[in-house]
Amino acid sequence: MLAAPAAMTSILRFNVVAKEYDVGSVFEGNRAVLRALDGVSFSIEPGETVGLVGESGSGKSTIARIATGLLRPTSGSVTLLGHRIDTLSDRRLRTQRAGLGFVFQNPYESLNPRHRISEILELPFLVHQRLSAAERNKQVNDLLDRVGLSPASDFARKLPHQLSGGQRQRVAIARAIALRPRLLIADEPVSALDVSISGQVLNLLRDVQEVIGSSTLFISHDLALVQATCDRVLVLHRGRIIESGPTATVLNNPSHPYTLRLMVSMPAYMTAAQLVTDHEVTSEPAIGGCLFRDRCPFAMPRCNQTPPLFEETPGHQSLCWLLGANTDVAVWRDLRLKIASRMSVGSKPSAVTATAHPDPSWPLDNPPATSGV
Amino acid sequence: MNAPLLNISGLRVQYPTGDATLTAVDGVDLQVREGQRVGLVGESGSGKSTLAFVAARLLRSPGRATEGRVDFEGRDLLSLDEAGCNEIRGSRIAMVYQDPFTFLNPLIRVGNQVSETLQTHSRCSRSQARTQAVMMLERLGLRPGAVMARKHPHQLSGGQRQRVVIAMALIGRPRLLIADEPTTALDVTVQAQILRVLSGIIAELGTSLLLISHDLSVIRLMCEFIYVMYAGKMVEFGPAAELFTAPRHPYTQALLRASGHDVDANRRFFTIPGAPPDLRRPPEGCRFAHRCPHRMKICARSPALLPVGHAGSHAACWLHQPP
Repeated sequence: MLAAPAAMTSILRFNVVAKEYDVGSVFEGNRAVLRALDGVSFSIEPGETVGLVGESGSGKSTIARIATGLLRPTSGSVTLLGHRIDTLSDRRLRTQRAGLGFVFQNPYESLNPRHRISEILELPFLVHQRLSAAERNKQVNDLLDRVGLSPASDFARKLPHQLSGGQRQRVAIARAIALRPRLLIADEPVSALDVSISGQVLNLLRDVQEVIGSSTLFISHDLALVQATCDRVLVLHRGRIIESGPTATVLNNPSHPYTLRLMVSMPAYMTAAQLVTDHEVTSEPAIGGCLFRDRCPFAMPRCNQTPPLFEETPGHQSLCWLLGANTDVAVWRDLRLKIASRMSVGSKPSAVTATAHPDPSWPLDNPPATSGV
Repeated sequence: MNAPLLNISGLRVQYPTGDATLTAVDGVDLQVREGQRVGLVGESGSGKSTLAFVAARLLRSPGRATEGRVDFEGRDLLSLDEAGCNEIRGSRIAMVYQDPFTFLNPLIRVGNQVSETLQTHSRCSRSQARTQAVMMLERLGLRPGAVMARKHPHQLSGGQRQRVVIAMALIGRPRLLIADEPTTALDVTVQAQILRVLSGIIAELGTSLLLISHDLSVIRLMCEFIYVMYAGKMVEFGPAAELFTAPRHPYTQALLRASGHDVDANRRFFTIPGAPPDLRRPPEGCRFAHRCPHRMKICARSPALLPVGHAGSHAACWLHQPP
């Protein structure tokens, strides 16, 4: 038997997790190690929705795949419901995975096109609970009702291609919650859907999460979506969590220059005036030290060393020397203030209101003179 | 006022399907003036991409424009022969699509793909075309241009590939650029860079823009005049300033509200109930009626697209017109 979980256990805990890939070719002599994740630590507590934000290649999907046990980390430990999953045998992992539900990005690819909806949805009950055909049938109908696909008996007979994108994502959610998992991982669940449909799907996700009492890891590139749905947010950049904290705190008052850059890049925050200027970085990305320093307008000599995690307010952490002692960069503080004023309550980043606010231009356009160390 | 550069009028595009005909675009008008930046907003299935393909005469069989006209620089594109179209496409009208990888030839260096486009459409020597291609790549932020020109598409990132595609589209100095979701597949910081470059270069070349997107915030950023399509019909159009601050059509209002990602106290998003109609069997009257919070009896009849306000806005909604 596995050790019994402690009384107050995190649902999911990553402890200094690293994942490295060997890249390059033996024959061309350019073998190297690609560090997809570098010292990633976070936890998800019961009932919590945690947002994971980052651009392509930042390591979002690697985190999701390690959390599901599909990938094993190179170092560090991963605990799901109190059990180490990074060292588990494949057979034991399979039982642990019943505690996990996964909603993928593309409902056109995540459902087997040759299986009827009933076959897709009864599989978890067959594999994990060995229910009889009649019991499975009842469970499938219950699930379809719960995700708003009624009459359930009609939808159960259909094939995925007979459903719209929103309906397919409802089926994917039904499959994810079939075994009432403690943790839902939603990887860009609505990015393939139209805006008039995505709200319906997100509301459904929130409904089922409340009913079954699960926690959620919500992976998204869309800061506005994360702001609306998540309790806490982790910002991932090149395999490191560079900023994290309560969503309202992080997105109202971001501190890491990369988070600042993400925010001013969102079309809803940009103004047409900002389109006039143009800044390009063509250098190869930095290695060692702070990984954002070559694109950072506030880079200092000490950025050659990896910064420690600074905690500005309780729970709000940032991997940046700007938060260290004896550092005072006025341009950085001004930019934070500008972003904070736009993001304050009542001035949500909707397409309607964004024009009415001052323009927090990304200071890359005029490289600032940094004071401080 | 001068005649518009692109004038689409009464356009109807149909696709034959198994048991019925699907009318993707149903009697639509759209104009792009010289130097203007026009946005076309709509969700999947609204007909916006079909419209873009017809405007560049790139619609493939079985889709067919069954009614209406597409006038470009005073010539009717729909009645032009293939040779005439080839002359216009690339040199007068250019298109950029969402997915740059399918657009580029994986076996040819990107510099050659750009210079080839120029050689096809203008009488210039190979070396002149190459020099211009390198300059164009640099202008789009692919530096050093001479090095980037020697790369193959798979050696470039998604954002770099999209820059190459834009270079190919603009090297012939077209009068009109039709961009269909040009940044949808890209990361937000890359999207911002590309929108900056695109905005700068079309201003420099004096190229008009027809930007098609589902993303209202991108459209707001780039365009001065906006059209909104729903279920094959144009439901509203007007100057960006007015459309974003005082949208008239309930669909435009709902779309703006939904894309703001506002949540209520229970963290539930605003949603538009229901789904768009099946265009093989479109409902009588207003096509948004069954999802509309303001539905009235008269909505069973089709509303005309009529002027509202004084800024040139039009809306197809009975709320804004006498019955």
